[in-house]
Amino acid sequence: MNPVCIAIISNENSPLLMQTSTAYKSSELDLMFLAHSSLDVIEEKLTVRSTGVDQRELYLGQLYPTEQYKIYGYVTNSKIKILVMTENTSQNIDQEVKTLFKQLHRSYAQLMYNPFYQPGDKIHFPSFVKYIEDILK
Amino acid sequence: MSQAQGKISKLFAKKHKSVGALDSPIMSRGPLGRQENRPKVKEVLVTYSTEENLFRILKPRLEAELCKQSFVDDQYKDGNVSLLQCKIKFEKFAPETYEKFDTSFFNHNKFLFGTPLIHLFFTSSNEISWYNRSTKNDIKTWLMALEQFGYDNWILVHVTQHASTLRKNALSNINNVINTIKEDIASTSPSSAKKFYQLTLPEKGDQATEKHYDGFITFLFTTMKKYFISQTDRYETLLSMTREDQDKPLWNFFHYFLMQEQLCFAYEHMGMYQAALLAYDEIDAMLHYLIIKMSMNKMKKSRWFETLQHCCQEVLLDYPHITLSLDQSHDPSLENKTCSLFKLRSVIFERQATLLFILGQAWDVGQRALKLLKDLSEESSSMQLPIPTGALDAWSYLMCKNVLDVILDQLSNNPLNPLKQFAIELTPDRPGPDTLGPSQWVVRAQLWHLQLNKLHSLGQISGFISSKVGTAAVMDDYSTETETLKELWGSMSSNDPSSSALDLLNVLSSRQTFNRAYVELAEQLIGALKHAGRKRMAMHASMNFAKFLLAKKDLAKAQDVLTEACKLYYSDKWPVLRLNSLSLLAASQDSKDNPPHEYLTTCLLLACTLPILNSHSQERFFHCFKDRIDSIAKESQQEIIPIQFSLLFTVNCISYAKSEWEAGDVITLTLSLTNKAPADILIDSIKLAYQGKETLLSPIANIPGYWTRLYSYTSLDEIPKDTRLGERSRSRRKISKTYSQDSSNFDFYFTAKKVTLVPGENNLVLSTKCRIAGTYHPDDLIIEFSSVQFRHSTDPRPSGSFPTEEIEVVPSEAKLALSVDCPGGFLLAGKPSEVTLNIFNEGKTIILCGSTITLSSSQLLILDVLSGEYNREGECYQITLPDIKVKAVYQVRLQVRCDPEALKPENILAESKMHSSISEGDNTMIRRVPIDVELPKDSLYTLNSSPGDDTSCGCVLQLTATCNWVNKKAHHNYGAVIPLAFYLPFKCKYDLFSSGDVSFVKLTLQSTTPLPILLRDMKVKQTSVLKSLMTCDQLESLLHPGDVMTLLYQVDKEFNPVLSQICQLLIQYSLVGQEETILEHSFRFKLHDIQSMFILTSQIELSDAVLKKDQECKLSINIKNIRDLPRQWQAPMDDIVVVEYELRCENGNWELGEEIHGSLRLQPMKNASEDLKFRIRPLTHGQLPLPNLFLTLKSYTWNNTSSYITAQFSDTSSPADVPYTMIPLTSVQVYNSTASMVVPIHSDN
Repeated sequence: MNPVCIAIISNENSPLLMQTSTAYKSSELDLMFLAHSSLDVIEEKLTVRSTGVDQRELYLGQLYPTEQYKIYGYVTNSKIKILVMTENTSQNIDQEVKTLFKQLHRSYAQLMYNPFYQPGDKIHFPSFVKYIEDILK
Repeated sequence: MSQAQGKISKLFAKKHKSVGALDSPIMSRGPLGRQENRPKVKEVLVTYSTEENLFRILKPRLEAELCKQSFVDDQYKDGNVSLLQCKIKFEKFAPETYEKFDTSFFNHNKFLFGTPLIHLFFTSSNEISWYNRSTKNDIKTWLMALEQFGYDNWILVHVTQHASTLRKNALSNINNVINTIKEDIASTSPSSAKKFYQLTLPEKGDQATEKHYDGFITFLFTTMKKYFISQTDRYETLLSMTREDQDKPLWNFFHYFLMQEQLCFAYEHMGMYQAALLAYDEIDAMLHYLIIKMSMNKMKKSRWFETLQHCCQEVLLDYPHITLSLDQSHDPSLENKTCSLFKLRSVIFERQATLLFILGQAWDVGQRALKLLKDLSEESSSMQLPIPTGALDAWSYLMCKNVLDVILDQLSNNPLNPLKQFAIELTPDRPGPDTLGPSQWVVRAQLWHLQLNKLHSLGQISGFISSKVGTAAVMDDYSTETETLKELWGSMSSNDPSSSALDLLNVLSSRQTFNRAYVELAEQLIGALKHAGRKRMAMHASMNFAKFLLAKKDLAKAQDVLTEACKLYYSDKWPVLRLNSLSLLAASQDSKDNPPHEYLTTCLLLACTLPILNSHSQERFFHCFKDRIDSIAKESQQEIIPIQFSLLFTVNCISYAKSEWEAGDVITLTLSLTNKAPADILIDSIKLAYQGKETLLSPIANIPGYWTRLYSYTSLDEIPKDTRLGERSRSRRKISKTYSQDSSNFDFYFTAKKVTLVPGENNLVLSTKCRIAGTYHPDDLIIEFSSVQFRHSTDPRPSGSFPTEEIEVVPSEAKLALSVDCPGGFLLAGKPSEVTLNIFNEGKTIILCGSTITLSSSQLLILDVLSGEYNREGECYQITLPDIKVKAVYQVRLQVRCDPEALKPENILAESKMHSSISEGDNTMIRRVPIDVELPKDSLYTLNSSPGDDTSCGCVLQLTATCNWVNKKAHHNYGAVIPLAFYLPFKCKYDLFSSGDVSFVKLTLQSTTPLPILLRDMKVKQTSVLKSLMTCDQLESLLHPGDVMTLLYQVDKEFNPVLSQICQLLIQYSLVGQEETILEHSFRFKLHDIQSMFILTSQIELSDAVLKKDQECKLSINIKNIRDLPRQWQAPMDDIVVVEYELRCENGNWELGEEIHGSLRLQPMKNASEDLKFRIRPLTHGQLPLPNLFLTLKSYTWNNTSSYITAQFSDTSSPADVPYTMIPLTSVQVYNSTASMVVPIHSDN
């Protein structure tokens, strides 16, 4: 798996953090548009999930494919959305993405313990940003 | 149409002609009829062994019933197993014609349907003897033959007539036969007993036998199906073994594909479409897997892979076109294993699509198309296929378009669509065309999205769109890119193109068609996404669309799209995306056709409100803003553009110097304001407006009269003595509603002009006066500069709350005002006038019932009280007041009159002389100077005065008021001096001049009132002295403001020259509009020394003919008495008049000799004369007037006691002791007959 971009989006759909891998810095704006667009699919999936059986499943799977990227979604119980974008290859990376989401979720939960972080604010903490950057390397 | 285009079109037309007319996309590949869109009828072999007669009876019904059978197969979801698509072919059992089953047997075409599906043996033996003799052996032989060839799919059927047709003992015989058969076949294999069936032929009307027959058919079909399944299992095993050999060099995917497809066809024939689809999916996945693996060199490349690589030069030969046919014939290239990747992909996709349509999953075709395009893109790039530029884009474009067309056609109500009818027959409850849900809209949108992307790529290749996003298309002539297009079109034209290909060709033929197609597709995409509820995706598409619109200069449309985008990104709080859309919006608004405020607002949003931008970019946008407003200001001075306040400013707080202010005080506050701009702003004005909580307007505003003009509002205790009324009036501001340019109302406001606001926080100290008590709160803040106005109250989204700190303005002291009720609004001296005294309780004072106000006037002011309750004590009036509530006014009517005594000369404090322009005289103008209060230099009081004329035309008297009410905080008595200005109706003056022995008096009147005056009568008392030379003084005449009237009188010659005479001009007049009231004005003046006594005659005595400069000469002056000189001028002793003289040259033209003054003794009688001679010398040349001679004489005391006579006849006193005074004679008394004479003086040369 080669993640291209990771985005953390608030429960009000505003971006809290969005990091792009160095190789894709020039496409950062496009990726941001894609991340924003995928909120439509997330909302659809959440609506379906609210009427479905298993509401505990946080992993939303692949949101929608583009010619270049695959976008995977994950939503926490507090409606924080995590997006991972990868290159659009034929490889089945579902399990890897799932594992990555769980790691990201755990790290975000740890961030919430930080008394200096106000939930809903943009994430600027260097340690967390570096953690994301390391994933994207 | 271009030449190339025409050529290509002809080619297309030719091709079309060859294939015939095309009705629909699915019919375009050939004359596909109704039958072709069904599975081709397959024959299912069934063998039989029996008597021919018996089988002839059974065959028709068996054929019909078997095809109707259908069972749900649990192995495949929704897989109905049936023989609907099959024709049962009965053949007589001939074992030698069948091939033996073998796993190495590769003739897969015959594997599934080439062998009999079941073998039947019918017997109708009803006698045991017959059975043993014949039938038993036949069965034994049949079974042995089947066993030999490995077939176990057989059924042995014993056919029995209906019981009604049998004899009585026949039934027992039949049972014996059946039992024997069972025993016989059971002896071969225990399971074989289950393959025996006893069939009783049904009789019409007998339900039991009919049911029995149906059971037989079911049994028969189940057995067939079981065999079919076992056969397919065996075939799949064979396929699996083949698949495992994929690493071997001779392994060929095409071969495998054809094998697998046979299985698919078999499934289709049995109605197992789901199974068939699954089989195709397996092929699809396997193909992709193998291609990627081989491309990445993880697997050795096979020959078939190289075939795929080399067979794609003309990619558009294999352009996608879904025919939806169940025709099982293959393309020759596929059979020959020389198929291209695109062709192979097309074939697989077509099969999948057809099956999906049959299964009622039309929209899944769209999803699979997207996956196919993605896989194909990946495969072609990984295989590094040598395809022409843009070919894959065109392929994808056509694929999307074709797929969508086919889907929509399938979902439409088109009755000519045979596959649809077939599918409806199979699944009658499939969704109709009107049941398009959001997911279907999503698929449609995804196809359009991909199609649009491909069109964009093709547009870039063709030069219709610049590869640089957001700029105009740079290529004007697409022919520059025709190399690529030719290649592309060459492929297309060599193919058998469909209408889709023609469409694409047409789209790429010119810029106009391309733009039209792009816009149409983009709008469809955006609409579909919105329909699917994916507003954000729609906005993403809109952003790309806006860039395209910007490039083709469709600014209005781009603005609509971008404005919507800005709103969405703002509401979703994605600032970077909003910034991106805003910068594009600014570019679209930067046009003179666009309303300027939109562009300005966008610039400010970019410059000030989005901190994401770097400072350089922010400054750039702010300069754009400033440049635009400056240009607007230059173009149109009047235009003010309102801009949202919060874009540029934020109001932080307002702090006051103190919490409570008294009405009229100067209120000072500090306004903290944040300037969000990245640079300094020089603002023209800033206004902080305040609004009262309740209506606190003073009722004095409604009082009619002229208090405003008189400026008579006087605070009872705050007038300093040195304050001039005029200054107070000038500094006073009218307290009323202030109307700003946009008609909003404020009670008052603070303002400052030309203030520079630096970036960040600014603190402004502002001050103003508020004269009305009340509680005020900040209501609005207006900032203006250049051609823009920022107004907080009109801000739709104010950033932060506006400060609400209130100002408490407490009432001030009570006030008095005098309003003049006369027409014209002025008081006329001498005329009784009514005025109203207004007592206004501002609120600070308590004026209870019984409070008094005492009025006293100055000496010359006559005062009467006309209303109210009062007591008079001498010249003072004590007025008792009622309870005057806060903000209430109590009025007392008064009558005032300026005493005529004020006009007497002794009451005039100052006099000034007016100089006659003709001759000197003792003419004195009465000038009224204010007694108590100096007259203000206000236009009201200086009517008709020319510049530099300081003459006044009225007087100001005073009215003193003393009040006994109290302050709320402390007990005080208050007093006030209220000035009253009275106008004189006229300015009067007189002039005196003489001519020889005749003297004249000229009287001049000038109107000073604001109203015209009607002169009724003018008379001069002492008419014996003055004789009028004019007759107009008797007539009525109208004197307008500023008009001047002159009266001329001659002085009586007999008038004693020593005596003086006071004269009085009496004028009767009335003001216009009040003609019934006749007023009188008198002007007194004193006449003395008005008679001419001497006459002077000057003469130059010349030695030469001419007088030159610096040449001395003699001046001879003759002094002659005009009349007998009065007695008191004569010396007591010798009756001689002693005259002192002095020669003066005031202009310096003459040098005078030594003896220029002396005494002259004149005889007192008339015509006596004396000559005087003087030496003078002209100092210059030209026409020079002569020097003047001034005379002074002695006037002795002359009274009734006659001290002079006493002195004359007294022995004790000498005449020299008689007192006298020196009297300088005026120019009237000494008439200079040569005063106007000039002497010609020549120069030295």
